[in-house]
Amino acid sequence: MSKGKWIAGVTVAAVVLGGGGYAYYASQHNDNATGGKVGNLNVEYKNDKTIKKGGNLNVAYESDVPFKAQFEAGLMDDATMQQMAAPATGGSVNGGGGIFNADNDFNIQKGGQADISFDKNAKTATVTLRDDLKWSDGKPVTAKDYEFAYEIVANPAYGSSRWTDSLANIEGLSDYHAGKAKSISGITFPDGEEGKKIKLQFKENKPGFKHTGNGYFLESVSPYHYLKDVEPKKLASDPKTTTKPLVTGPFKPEKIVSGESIYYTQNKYYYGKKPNLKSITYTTVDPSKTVASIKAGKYDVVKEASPSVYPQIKKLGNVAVTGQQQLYISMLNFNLGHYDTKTSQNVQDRKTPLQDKRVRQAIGYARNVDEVTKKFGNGLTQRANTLIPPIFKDYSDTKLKGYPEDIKKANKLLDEAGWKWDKKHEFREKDGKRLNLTYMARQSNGNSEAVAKNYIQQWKKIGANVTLYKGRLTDFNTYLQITTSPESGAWDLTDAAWSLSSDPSQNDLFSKGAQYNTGHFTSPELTKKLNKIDSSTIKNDKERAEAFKDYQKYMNDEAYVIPTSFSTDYTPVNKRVANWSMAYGDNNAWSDLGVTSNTPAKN
Amino acid sequence: MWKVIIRRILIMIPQLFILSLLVFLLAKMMPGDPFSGLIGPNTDPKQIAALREAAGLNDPWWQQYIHWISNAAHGDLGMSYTMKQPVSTLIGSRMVNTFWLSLLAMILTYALAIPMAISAARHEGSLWDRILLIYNSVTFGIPAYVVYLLFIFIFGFTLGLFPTGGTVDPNVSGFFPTLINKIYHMILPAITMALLGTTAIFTYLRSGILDEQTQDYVKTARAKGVSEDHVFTRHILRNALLPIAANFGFVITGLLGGAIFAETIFGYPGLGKLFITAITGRDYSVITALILLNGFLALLGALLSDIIMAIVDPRIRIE
Repeated sequence: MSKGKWIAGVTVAAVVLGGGGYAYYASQHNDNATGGKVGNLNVEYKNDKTIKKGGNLNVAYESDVPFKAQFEAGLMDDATMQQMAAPATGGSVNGGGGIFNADNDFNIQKGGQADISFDKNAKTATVTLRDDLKWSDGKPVTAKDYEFAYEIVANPAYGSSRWTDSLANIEGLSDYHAGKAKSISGITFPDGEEGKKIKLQFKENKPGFKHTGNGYFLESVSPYHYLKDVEPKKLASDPKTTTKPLVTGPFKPEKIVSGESIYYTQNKYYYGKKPNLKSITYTTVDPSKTVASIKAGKYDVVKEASPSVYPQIKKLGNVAVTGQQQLYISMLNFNLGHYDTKTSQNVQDRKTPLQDKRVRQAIGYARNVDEVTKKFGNGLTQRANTLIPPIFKDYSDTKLKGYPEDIKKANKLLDEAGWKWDKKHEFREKDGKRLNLTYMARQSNGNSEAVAKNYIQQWKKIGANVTLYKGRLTDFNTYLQITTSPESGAWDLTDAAWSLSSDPSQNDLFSKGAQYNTGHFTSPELTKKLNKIDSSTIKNDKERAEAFKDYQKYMNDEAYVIPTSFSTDYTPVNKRVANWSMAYGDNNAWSDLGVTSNTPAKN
Repeated sequence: MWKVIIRRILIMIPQLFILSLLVFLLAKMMPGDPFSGLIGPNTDPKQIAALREAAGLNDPWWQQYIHWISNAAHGDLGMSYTMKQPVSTLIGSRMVNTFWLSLLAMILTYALAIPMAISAARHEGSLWDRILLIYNSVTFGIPAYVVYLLFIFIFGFTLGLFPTGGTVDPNVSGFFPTLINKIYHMILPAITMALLGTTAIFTYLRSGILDEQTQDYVKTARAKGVSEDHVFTRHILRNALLPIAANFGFVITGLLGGAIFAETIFGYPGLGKLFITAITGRDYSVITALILLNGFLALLGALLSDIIMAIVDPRIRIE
């Protein structure tokens, strides 16, 4: 129902294994706007030295593929660009900044490029753009610019991948999307198209409205005066959105070298605080060069550095390593059914021993995730105790224990389920059939095979005969093809990982109609609990938090999926940088950044 | 000769057609498609399905092929699914990078290999000759990527003499500063490629010179009292260069082929790196266009080599 409540840059990735384990992670405080720690990493690097006036900051994003320059939010569909566009959109350094400010709990706050207010009785929202909000060509940002963002996403001619069913909650938007209407009836301009106010008419109120990134309304503007004459199907490749875009953030792209780098300079029309830095050079760095580059002081900041090089990076003397909890969860999925394309619903009908929840629970208890994360996680991952990560401190159930290793309990569950050991006490059998399972483990990094074999050994301890899908690890594309197919594949267990939206509802992942519910499990109880979370009947935060906890407890008991790990993002920052903050609620992060010397510190 | 050239060009058409068909089928057989990577809770699966349908990926393969080949015949290679740009624009922009890098590497390779071969041959059996033979054996045997990594580590990171990625710094403006900056970015990969690329030219030329030195016409020239320098430059070298010339057609077309390893390790976005990116992203339109381009260049290279040989060696005529 509420598609699209998730941040960009989402990939279904194999479980990022590793761990070091922050046992106290789930209970740590989240007040990181003014400092704070995630595990043993500081969220900020302030620097005591005096900030120099001007200066250029060299930022790199770790990626082995050239980025595709795209500044139009509705057409931006990769994580690299979302991060690399951040100086031009404003907001936190974590990317994805929009027109609304947010706090560390992703609640929309006043004071951004626009404010939003809701009228619950009328089921409307009024978006008010700042009077002094201008494009980087000096033209004012108008109400039409906000509406035009919807046109780009909803009109199939633009080829946007960002249309989601959540947006259909705005009156008339799905008709516009389907070509049945020429304009969007639910978006009106109280002060005219050139004004600063936009009224959105919703079909129903949603508790997720309060969160940024909720997917029910857009949080970007598109320069109508600049783009209106571009043919829709050519907009994605037009220089006006790729190499010569208009932006509203503290920096504007001065020069873009296709696929390589973006050179930002101050946007003189930016309404907010004038940046300390004169310019920012944002480039991509190949994963194989990350450590050497940081060591040589080639970059001041490296975003998305691989967890595998963290042990090397943390030893470098010229950088401070900062950290932040990731909006991320990895899990073990069970294949329990198929997706019926006619009814657009998941059907839990697969004949498998895993239909018995005791078997699923036993599989969960047999895994030694704590040990694996400790050995391979480099201190950046921990076993997940529930499906809602602790970054959502109001909603994550810290009391749940999840599935720590407990072979005794796992054996007991299988005994109860009627799976008896064979004569050799090698494997378990029921009705003459051995407990055979196929594990589709993904090839994601150098440790993938070791981890997969470790789990297979663990499962053998409880008498489950688990073999790898086709006898080997599965590559990313094959994995996607199989797991997203409506048919039930020839696998029983697999790893999955999701980046999460800043609204924690998991309707998109696990509802009866969710195509991303790759295990195809469903139950009336689950539907009820998921619907409750996004229901318009929710009166306040407390009630929603209860609904989340009720849902987590149910999912923990039913073990339709077993949470595997939470992760920490880390970012190495050169010691000449000042005011670096990874806080999600730091809305002026790019303006505050500065450097304290002309040359980067070298190791 | 013109008839032969036209005939050869005409033969290329069915050859390229078969190649394109094979490439298209092989690309389609790879698991996943360009929209697989879009999967994520930020994108509605229905929207991905709609984009897939709009791109014609649900049509039978032969329909997709006919559609693609008929557009290609009109010069439209389609859109890159992942980079959202016309394939011709994308390839064009990368081709420029690859061409200049390859050209510089080629010039440096010849500038190194020819003097090496001449001096080795003229001092056959000497210590210098042995050193050069060993050098060329080592550079031929050692995996290129190992040297690329070593050079980028030493000259890029440790000594900081050269950039470690990209084609140009984004904060450089003006024609000449940009040109100089671009050359600066090319030097390290080009020199490294040249240092590793001398073996073929060195070996052909050295053995060619040694062979020619023993020919009767050389002895005759010497007997006639022609100066040694004249004998070498006008008789020996000229004939010894023929195998090099024969290969020159492939070298010219190879300038646009792209150096996959070098471009990937040096972070130089040319056609080689584009090819790797396209394969991992299942960007069918780019994959097929690039393989077709390489196929065309290989055929053209063979033709050019024959033509060059016919021009430089009067004994050879294309009939």
